[in-house]
Parts: sequence; C-alpha cells; structure tokens
Amino acid sequence: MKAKFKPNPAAIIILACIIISVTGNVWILVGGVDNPPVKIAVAKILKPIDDWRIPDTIPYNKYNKLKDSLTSMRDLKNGDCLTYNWRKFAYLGTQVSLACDTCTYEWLKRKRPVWLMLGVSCDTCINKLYDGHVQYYIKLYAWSIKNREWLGDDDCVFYVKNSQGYLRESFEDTTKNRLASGRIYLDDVPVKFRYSDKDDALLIPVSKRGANLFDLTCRALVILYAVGLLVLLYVFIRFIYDMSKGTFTRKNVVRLRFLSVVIVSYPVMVILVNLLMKLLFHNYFTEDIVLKDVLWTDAWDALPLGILFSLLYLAFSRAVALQEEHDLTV
Amino acid sequence: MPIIVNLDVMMARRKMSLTELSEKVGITMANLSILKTGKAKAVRLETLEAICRVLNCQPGDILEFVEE
Repeated sequence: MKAKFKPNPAAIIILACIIISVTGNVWILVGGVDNPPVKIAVAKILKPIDDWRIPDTIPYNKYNKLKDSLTSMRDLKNGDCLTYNWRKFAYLGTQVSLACDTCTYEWLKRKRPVWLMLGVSCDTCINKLYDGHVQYYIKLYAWSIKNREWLGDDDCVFYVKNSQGYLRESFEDTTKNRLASGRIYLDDVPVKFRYSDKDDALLIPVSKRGANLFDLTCRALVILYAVGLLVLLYVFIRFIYDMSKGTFTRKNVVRLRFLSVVIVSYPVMVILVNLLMKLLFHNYFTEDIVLKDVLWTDAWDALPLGILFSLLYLAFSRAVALQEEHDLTV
Repeated sequence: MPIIVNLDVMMARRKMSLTELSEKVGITMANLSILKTGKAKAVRLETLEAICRVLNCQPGDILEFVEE
C-alpha cells in the first residue's frame, strides 16, 4: 500500500501560529532592543531643532501656553498640523494636514479657525485658502522611528527645514581617538519621509490623487473586513445551531476549519500588508525605520483563539470519523 | 477498499431476497443495504455469524480480499 501524504489543516494552522510567535519574539528581541547605532561620526556641535527655548523660570500657565505654541509650530513645520485622519485600518490610513516650514505662528493662528470651520470639505478652494500649504500623506501606523527615545536637548528627533526632512540620529564615535572613542554624537541625516510625533506613525507625502486612491483601497478593505466579520458571525451561529441538535456533521468540521484559518490568517495578512508597504515605498524607508512591536502583540492576541478553534476542529473531525464508522458498522 | 462483499452473490445462489434475509438475520434493510453495496466500514462478528447461519456458508464466501 502506498503511503499518501495528507497535510492536516489544523496542524498547519498550529504550525503557522508557532512560526508567528517565534518570529515575532525573535523580531522583538533583535529589532526591539534600542542598541545605539555603531557608525563612525565626527563630533560636531548641532543647533537645537527649535530656534527658541522656553525658560523654566516663568509661571506654569505661561510655560504651558508657550509649550503648546512651540509644539504647534513644530507640527506645522513638520507637516503634522491640524490633521485630518481619513481612515485607519490594518495600521494603514491617510492624512491631510498643514505643512509649512517658513510660516509664522501668527499665520497659523489666522488660518486655524478657517481650517476648523471648513476642514477638508472644500476640495477646490482648500489649497488657495491655505496658500498651497496643504499636504496629503499615506499614514503608516505600523512603522516608527528607531531610537525615538533618544531626545538629546530637543523634544523631537525629526524636523523639516527648507522642505527637507531631517532625522537627528545618534552615532557612536568609533575612531581610534582614545578620548572620543565610545562617545555618542548627534548628526542630522536627510530623509524623504515625514513623521507624525503625535501618532508615532510614518508619513509618506503623496499627491491628493494618490491619497484618494489609497483611501479608496482602505475603504474597500474595510468593507471586505466587515463582510468577513459578518460571514464569521454567520458561520459561528450556524455552528452553534447545528451543535444544539447534538450531531457531529462534516459541515461543522468545515466551519471550524474556516473559523480557525480566518482567525489566524487575519493578523498574518495585516503583517504582510504592512511589510508590502515597505516594498511599495522602499525609496522612503531608511534603516532607522522599524516595524512596531504592537503588530506582533496583536498577532499574539489572536493566537489562543486560533489554537482553540484548531483544537476544536481536530476534535470534531475525529468525532465525525467515529460517528461515520459507527453509522456504517452493521 | 480491497475487501469485496459478495453478499448479493450468496443471496442469488440461495435464491433469497433482501427482505427475507433481513427478517431472518434480524438486522434492518438499511444496514443490509450498506453491507451489500460495500459502504460498510466494519462488520460485527455476531452479524457475520447470523448471515453465515442463514445463508449456510462460510465468512470467506461473503468477504473476499482483492489486491488493488
């Protein structure tokens, strides 16, 4: 008799779960640790990112007010001011905001009420109203900047100057200078992407058409997700209804397999889609951009439910086989 | 399955209908039909004994192994 290899779907699901968890943990262990980058750099004095500093001798209220205006100005310069987030699904979204690294605080104060009143509803006049300082982005919530905890003397690591984004990076001096060896220095590296400090998300500047197209794709994904959820719910209810009759049916086995596959494959799909974003926008990505750990922890959360349904599938398929054997025994 | 059930052959030799065999053996028509059509996954020894007794034959006359 020839031995036939029949892959067991439940075993495949459990194997996929184990692979996800192991890969995730390795990723977190390797990528999640903030090791200082080992690069050769020459020590140089950098100006603070923001031109002015708030003295800490002033009253608390005044300090807060100044801090808010400083943050608003930084957001405006970075292109992350008065934002409208259109959609967030599977850590993807779009954003429209004001971006102007030469504008003054007075300009912002003048424009803010108009923005809040009109928002982005006036598509044709919006750029005219804001002097062409409206910027559209594809927002990648799953990606962040590495070592963003390293602040130095500034409150941010990313800034825009003369329409060019810069990332303030830390470097280790590995020159043979004994006195300088091992010291950490800061340097500004030009980058193509933008970064939202508020949402800790990567921003890819695109045209309005590009943002709309991406938004449309996100909408389609949301609809697909909603339909998928309804199908899952329907399948689960049918499973419970059939179970109440007290019989093990092959249909229920198929339903359980479907539930376990979908539950496990959803986080896998989310991870793959976000990795695909890196492939799509590889020009914008540098080695300082890392995938957030939250993606893996979400996948980890879905794991027990996936395993539970896989085990139920295994038990039910065995029960159905036993019942068939019992029914066909004369 | 390489096990062939020759129940219909034995029934024809003994000129016995399925209804008659069912009544004499004491198993349902549905179960006998499963056995006759080769869909059965298992046969109880007591069922085999009853069939052999009624048809006056050996188990080997009803069941046959054929290499696939």
